[in-house]
Amino acid sequence: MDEAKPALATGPKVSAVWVLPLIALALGAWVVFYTLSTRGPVVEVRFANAAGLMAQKTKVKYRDVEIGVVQSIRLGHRQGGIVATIQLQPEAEQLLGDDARFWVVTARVGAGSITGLETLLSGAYIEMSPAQVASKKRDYEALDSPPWTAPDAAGIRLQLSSEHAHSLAPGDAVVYRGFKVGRVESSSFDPVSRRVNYQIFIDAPYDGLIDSSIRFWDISGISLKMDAGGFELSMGSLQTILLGGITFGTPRGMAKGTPVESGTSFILHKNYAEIMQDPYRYGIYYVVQFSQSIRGLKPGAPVEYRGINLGYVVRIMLSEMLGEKSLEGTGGPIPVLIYLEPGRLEIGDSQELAEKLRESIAVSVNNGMRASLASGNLLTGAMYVGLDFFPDDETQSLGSYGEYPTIPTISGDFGRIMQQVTQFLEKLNDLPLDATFSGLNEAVAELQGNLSALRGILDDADTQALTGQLLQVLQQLEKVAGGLTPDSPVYQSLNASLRDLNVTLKNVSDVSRTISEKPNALIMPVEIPADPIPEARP
Amino acid sequence: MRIILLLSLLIAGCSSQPVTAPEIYLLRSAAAQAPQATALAPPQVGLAAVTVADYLDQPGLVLETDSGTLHRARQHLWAEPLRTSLLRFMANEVGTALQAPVAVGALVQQELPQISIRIDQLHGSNDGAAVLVAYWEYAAVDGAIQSYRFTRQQALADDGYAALVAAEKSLLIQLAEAIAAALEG
Repeated sequence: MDEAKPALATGPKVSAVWVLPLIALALGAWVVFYTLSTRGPVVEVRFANAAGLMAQKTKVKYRDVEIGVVQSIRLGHRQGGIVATIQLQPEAEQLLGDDARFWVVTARVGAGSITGLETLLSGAYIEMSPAQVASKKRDYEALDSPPWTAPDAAGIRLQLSSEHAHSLAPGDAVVYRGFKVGRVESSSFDPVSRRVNYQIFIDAPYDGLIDSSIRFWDISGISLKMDAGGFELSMGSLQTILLGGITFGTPRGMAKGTPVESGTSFILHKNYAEIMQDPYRYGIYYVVQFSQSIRGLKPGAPVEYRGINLGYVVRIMLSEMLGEKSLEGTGGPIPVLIYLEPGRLEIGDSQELAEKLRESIAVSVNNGMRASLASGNLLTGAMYVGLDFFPDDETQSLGSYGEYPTIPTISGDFGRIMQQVTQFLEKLNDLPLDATFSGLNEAVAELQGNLSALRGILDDADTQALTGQLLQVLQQLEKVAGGLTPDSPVYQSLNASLRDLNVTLKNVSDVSRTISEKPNALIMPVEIPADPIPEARP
Repeated sequence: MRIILLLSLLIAGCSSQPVTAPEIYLLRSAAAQAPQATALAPPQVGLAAVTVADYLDQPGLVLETDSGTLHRARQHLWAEPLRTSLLRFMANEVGTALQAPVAVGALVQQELPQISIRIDQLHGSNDGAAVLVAYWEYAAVDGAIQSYRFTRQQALADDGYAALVAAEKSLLIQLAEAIAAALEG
């Protein structure tokens, strides 16, 4: 019998059993590829803390559409805070970029609003603000609070700075004539410049209101002003009274400015009155040097050109003057720093106009414009710096003092008056006062002699006796007058005599009547008829 | 004056007819004749003046005759001019009626109320009566003036001038009483 022999394979053979693993491998690879290709990007966002965040639960939303979920939360060791790893959906990839932002939406109760109430039930979620330009950035810093303005919102973003603290918080309104046109986005304090900075956003189309002549001021709360004119109470809307707010406008009499770019910095004033005190932004500094006394010239004193206010005195530059040591010995001129503002000329308020004013002054100085000290108020002695043309003065041009240009000066009104007074005093000195006074002395001596002679006459006994005699005469005269009163014997006697005369005259009158009736009565007897007898009637 | 008196005597001497002496009547209060030497109280009122109508300012008594004319008596005369005797008489009579003295003439002081009297008529009428028409004024210290009128007749008790004088005297006493009554009222 034949012994069976195994048939030996002559070449390497791959068992078909390996097909399955291969298929499985291929499938697995495909699944991995598919999973990876459809999984979407993973980003890491750093938060200050994990309040409200839960791994595998907290959702990420954009415009209330769920676009991802927090996968895990771990501590961010070195940088602090926590890092949330977020799995986003693939379509969210295009939203990622350098300026994409994340923040936690939770219930917030603010002074002006209550937001995120729905998260009380659903739990906090992460809101995302997409980037303007997509990029591969995958690490982000979360915002502490929701941004007040959407990044793609139309409008203009401005910086305000103030020396004073205002009761403004992010979210407070920016109003224009009582209408809300924007909001405060953030506030911060810069310890270097020691100013409070605010970022505000003016929504379109109100950004067209903003130009270089615009001023911002605080209208928070209620302003009560009391002065000689009475009370003035001003307040904004109820929202600005309670929460604070900013408004803006062009100061009265100021020309419209030029458009500004986003990010331009403005000053935030305390109130409108403060703006009116110093409404201009641009100006140029000059130094004027006076060799006369500047008594009465104070910081803030006006600088005028023929009565038109151009600016004000900033300060007397004492430190620079003493630094020069020009006070020693010769008594050099006193430098005064002045500030001229083109806005006061109502030609607008901008850097270009300031430059134009600078050129104009340079030309004017060549043509004879000089600064002088003038008296603004004779009572208080307040002085101001006047600019005017003095063509007779020798030709000069702008000089320089330290970093500032100088305007040449000429002695002012007061100085000229002083000069005239000095001349007058010199003339007075030349008068022959000695001779005049000696003549006057002689005249006085003569007068004294005359007076003593007069006193001698008055002291004379005869002169004094005269007065007594005069008195006696007057007394006698009074006695005589007293003797003629109705009660006096003389008067009575005179009266009786007059009565007798009357009786006699009456008798004469009777006689003359008798004679006229009967002319021969003087020689012929007159028959006098008997009087009729009155008779009693029964 | 002596010449005039001499002339009067001469004229009187030339008249051959004997002239009977005129009868003269004195206007005096009866009370004034009683002996009195008592101190009087200070006067409360003054009689500043008594003025008389011109026809009375002569010595003769005046009588209205039957023909309605006035006759000035030549034989029946007042002893004093009426303007002086009336002043004393009325002061006396008003004082008697008031039972207080009345200041007269120069004694009237400014601070006393004053009376002044004007006699318009004082004569005998042709119907046997005496007529008195008088006006008087009372000036108070404050300057207020009140005026009064007094008109009355008094029948003669008998014929003759003595009865006429008595009737006129009686009328003047009635005037004084009327003044006193007005002052006291």
